[in-house]
Order: sequence, then C-alpha cells, then structure tokens
Amino acid sequence: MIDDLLRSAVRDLADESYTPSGIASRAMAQGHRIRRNRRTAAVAGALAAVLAVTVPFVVLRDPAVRPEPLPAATPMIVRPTFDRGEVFRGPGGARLLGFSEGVENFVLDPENGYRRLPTADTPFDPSPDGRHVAVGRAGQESLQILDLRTGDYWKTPVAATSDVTWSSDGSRLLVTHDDGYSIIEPATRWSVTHRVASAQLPCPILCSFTWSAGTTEVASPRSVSRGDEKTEVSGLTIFDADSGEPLRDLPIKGAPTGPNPWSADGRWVLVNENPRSSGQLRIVEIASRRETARFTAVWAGFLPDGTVLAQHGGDLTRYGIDGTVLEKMELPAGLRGRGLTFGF
Amino acid sequence: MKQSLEDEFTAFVAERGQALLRIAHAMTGDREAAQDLVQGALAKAYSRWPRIHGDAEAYVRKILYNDRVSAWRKAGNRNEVSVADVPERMSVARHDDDVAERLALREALLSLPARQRAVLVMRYLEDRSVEETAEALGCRPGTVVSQASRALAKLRDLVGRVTPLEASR
Repeated sequence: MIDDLLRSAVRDLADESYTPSGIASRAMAQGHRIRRNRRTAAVAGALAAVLAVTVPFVVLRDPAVRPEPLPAATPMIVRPTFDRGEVFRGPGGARLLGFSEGVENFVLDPENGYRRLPTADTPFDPSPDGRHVAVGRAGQESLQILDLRTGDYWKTPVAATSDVTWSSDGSRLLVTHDDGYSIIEPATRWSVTHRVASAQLPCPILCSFTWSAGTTEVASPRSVSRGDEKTEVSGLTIFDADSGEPLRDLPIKGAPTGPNPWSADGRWVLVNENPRSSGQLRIVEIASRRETARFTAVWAGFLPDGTVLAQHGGDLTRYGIDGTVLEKMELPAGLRGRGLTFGF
Repeated sequence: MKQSLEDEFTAFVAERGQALLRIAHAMTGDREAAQDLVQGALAKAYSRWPRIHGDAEAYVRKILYNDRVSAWRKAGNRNEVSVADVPERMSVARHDDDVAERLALREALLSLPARQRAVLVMRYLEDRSVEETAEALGCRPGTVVSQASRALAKLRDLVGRVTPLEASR
C-alpha cells in the first residue's frame, strides 16, 4: 500500500518541476569555467612535477603493480535451489544470514531456517556468527541489537543513522555516521562514539568506515580534490577503534568496499578505485600496493580462507587472490533481486 | 568540431533536461534548488563532454545524486528540509482523506535526510534496482536496502500521525 502511495508522491513532486529557458547555455558557460580551472590546475601540476624530479626524492614505481590478465578459467556453474526452511550456502560455504524482499526482512535462525523479522524492525545487518541483528525501529532514533537466541532487544545509545558493519567474528559492530563512527559490543553492552573532524578526514561523497584489522582498528578513505569534483581516493586513514585516534595512513588509492574488505591475515584489501562507480573492484596487496585482480561486482568480501566471494547480477563467484575464478553459482529464483547478506 | 559538440550538448539538454529536472525536483522539493543542481551537473558534464557524451545521461544523473548528498553532508545537516510552497496543515482540514494523505506524504518525504530521499527517488521515480541505486550512490546494496527501509518506516510514522494510512484505504 505505502509503495503505491510513495510512488505517486515522488512522481507528483517530480511533476512540479519546469524547464527554464537557457539552462543549456548557462551550463555551457559554467562548463567553460570548469575547463579553464582544470587547465590552470594541470599547468600548476606539471610545474610541480618538474620541480619534483629535481629534488633527490625519487619514488620508484614498482613494476609489479601492473595488473596481470585474469586467467580464463571456466569452472562448472552450480545452480542450487532455495528453501526458506534450510540454511542456504554460497560458494566457499558462506552462509546466507539474511535477505530482504521489499519491506520484509528475513534472518537466519539456525534451527528453523529463515524467519521474518517484525515489520517494526529495520534490519541493518545480521552478525557473521548469526547471533545478533542490528535493527532500527520506527520512531526511535537509537540503534537496537536483537539477540536472535533470546529474542531480547538492547537499545544502544548510538544513533542509527548510517551504515553498519560487523567485525568478522561477530563480536563488535562498527556504525558509520556522517561525521565519525561508533563501536558497539553486544556481549558487554559497551559502546563508544568518535566524531572525526571533516578537516581530519575529507571523505569522498560519504564517509565510510570499515574494520581493518580484527576488532581493534578501523579504516576510512580520504579524498583528493580534482578541479571542482572530489572523485579520487588519495589514501586510507587507520584509526584506533576504541580511542578514535588516527594511527597511520596507508597509500592505498581506493575505498575499501563490501561487507568484509580486509583479508583475515591483513595482507590484502578489496577496494573500489572510484567511489562514484562502485562496480569495478580490485584486490590490492597492502604492503606493495600491487593490484592482483580486478573484477566487476555489486559487492565482494574476503572469506576466512583468503578467497573472495562476490555477487554480480544473479551470480555468486568465488575468486582466488589472483582473480582466478574458483567457483560460480547461479542464484536461485527465490533469491534473485533480493538484498543478500552472507556470513564471511 | 567545437560547434558540433555544442550542438550535441544543446540537443542533449533539450531532450533530457526535463527528465533530469524531475529527478532534481524530487530530490530538493524546490524549483530553484533543482535548477541549480541540474545546471551544475550539466556544466560538469559539458566540461568533459568529448569523453562522456556517449553516456552523458548516466554521468549527469550520478553527479545529481552525489552533489545533492555531498551538499547535504557539507552543510552538516542531518535533517535538512528544503521545502518550497509546502502545503500548510490547514489543508488537511478539508476532510479529503486522499488529498490529506498525499500532502502529508509529500511533506514527510521532504523532511527525510538527503541520502534517504535519494534512495527513494532512484527506487520509486526511476524504478532502479537495489544494485543500480548502490552503484549510483557509491554504497553497498545493503545500505540501499536499509536506507529505503528506514525511510519507509519514518514515512509511515510521520504520515500516520496525520492520517492513518492503512485505515483510510
């Protein structure tokens, strides 16, 4: 019902627009100014580059950073069925922890398959261990943690405003706000919120924090200005999860992306080079900044064995670190077009 | 060559400008703000026209959404409401349930944070999939689902205070 009403309301709102005359010519004039500014910046950049080679600090480019072509592997495609009464497993044994169908949301109850959450709950993510779900509730600003074993809700003091990510062991929840992040520990009912000054962390489009090493550090990409558009990630800032203090910068030119972007051994990270185009993902070796694979996916995450699970359209694929396709699975009809959350 | 690019750009604006303004108006709820948003996005597109003209509309749409959300973030507004000509609550008193409901929903839509409204506009005006919305906004599909879900819950709550949605239909 509200779907139809909302569609009408959004369209009514859109219908109130009108086309002003001369918008093309004004846009062209503004576009010319942008081009001029960009050229000026390019000339300044070229001068800076000339100066840079005259100083005795030379950054040698590692020839190994050149991406290698992906092997043309053609594994057998698996086409499983889906039964809501049973646990669904993706490639690599990854368990489907939850899925959404329109405004209805289902989470895995290991004993009884997938169960519907109360409609008052807006689930953000089930924990990888399947124990908790972070939820929002209509009319309540704070994030709540639903214990799937007991059915108890814990109303945290943290505002449920944005993206949430569980640590890979499911013990801690990272909540991204527009100006910082919170850490929540359901077992001890502890939480902390850190506000990060925008000057300290110029984020691209939206600040997005991810776990970067177990449960003790979090990372967020920094952006660099290019002309009037902030489009490029210049590196990552690593923060101490508990204190909120910046620890170090990593010269990784990409935003960690997906539900579990860091490998368990801390050697590799999945990044999206351009935060405005989230389809092209890369696997990068952190120490050398070497890119080892590149593929297209709507989301991807590291499995505990160091391989990568990714979804593209109606397919799930497990990649090796070098981009080798190890397994491919076609999603059953009951899961196509749904928002899926897997345990990693 | 330059003239042909300008002609191509002008033709693109003539053909797609209204569709882009519809999106911008649904995002901002204000004619002038929508016009500024579209003009800024078109200017950026024009500055890169030789490279992007093959897929200009997708480029402009991405800039529209991202500029709107970025502007909201930079302003530090968590609950920004860009409302022009918002109908007053008095109009509800006309005892026309249907009109009251639509007006209440319009008002509620405009009170949503920009990111949630962007998600709803992509999903309900443009009929984009979760994945397409995530790609355009540069976030996870799960974030799109949760933002849409939160927005719907908030709309239910806000609209329900004025007129009980389910009961009136």
